[in-house]
Amino acid sequence: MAGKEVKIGVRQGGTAPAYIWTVKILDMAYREALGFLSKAEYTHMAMQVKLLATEITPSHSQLCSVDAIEDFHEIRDWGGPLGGKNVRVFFGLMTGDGFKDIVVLGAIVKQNNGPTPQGDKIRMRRRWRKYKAGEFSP
Amino acid sequence: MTTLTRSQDNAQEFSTFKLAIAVLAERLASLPKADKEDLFDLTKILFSAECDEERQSAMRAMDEIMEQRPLALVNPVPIGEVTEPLQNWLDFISKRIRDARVAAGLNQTALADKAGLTQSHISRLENGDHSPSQATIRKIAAALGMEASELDPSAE
Repeated sequence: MAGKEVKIGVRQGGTAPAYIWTVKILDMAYREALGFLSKAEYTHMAMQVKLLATEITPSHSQLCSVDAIEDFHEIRDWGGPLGGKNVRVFFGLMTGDGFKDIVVLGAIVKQNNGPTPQGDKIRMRRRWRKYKAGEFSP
Repeated sequence: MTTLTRSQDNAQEFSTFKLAIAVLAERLASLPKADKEDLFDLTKILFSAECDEERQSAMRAMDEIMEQRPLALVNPVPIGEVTEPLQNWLDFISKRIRDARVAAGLNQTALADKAGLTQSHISRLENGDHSPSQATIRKIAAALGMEASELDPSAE
């Protein structure tokens, strides 16, 4: 009796990656993002954050441009659905006993590809400081 | 008579400023120490800013500190939805990547290796399941020996 044929090959389908981090978003971040992003642009940026949540070290992403600012980080992206908008999304990483959180702190749109304005850095630093101190409503 | 009116206006203006300063001083006194330090840094930035973007950024931050609005989390996390403009982009970029890969004679695994990505990520991009970041587009373009703008004309 002939044995059952076994097919061997690379699976071409890409399954949704497993999440390592939990994404949290501050209401201020959400409101300001909606202030300058269309629905399509928002969803594009949300996809980038979701993808970061699948990486072991989101601070050194292989999939989008992430830079460190003090003890938090910013995603820089443009093009595609964003067109000429140079968008920055700020986030902090918080780990503890049994949890790994990506906390989205805020978002801005830049007029060019230059450095993030100092005022926005201070604004995000303050939000991150207060979040870390537990000064927020869950 | 005119002189008297001006004098009265000045007196009114003075008392308005005096009131504004009193309110400001009261609010400043109530701020947490770290916020006061941030505000001090922002004042320096505001007055030394060389462009409007820096100035506006400093003013946004000062406003937020003075307002002292409490932080809250959004529940559940809004993930957005794929509406028509985004779907059009996903259809466009997924086809561009697949066509360019096939034209280069690479399979998904070979492209992933050259671009420093995973095969499953390339597959998700070609299936239109994910909207690639500019960083990813640049990695793929470099691996295929192309300019990023050939894949994404909007990213000049």
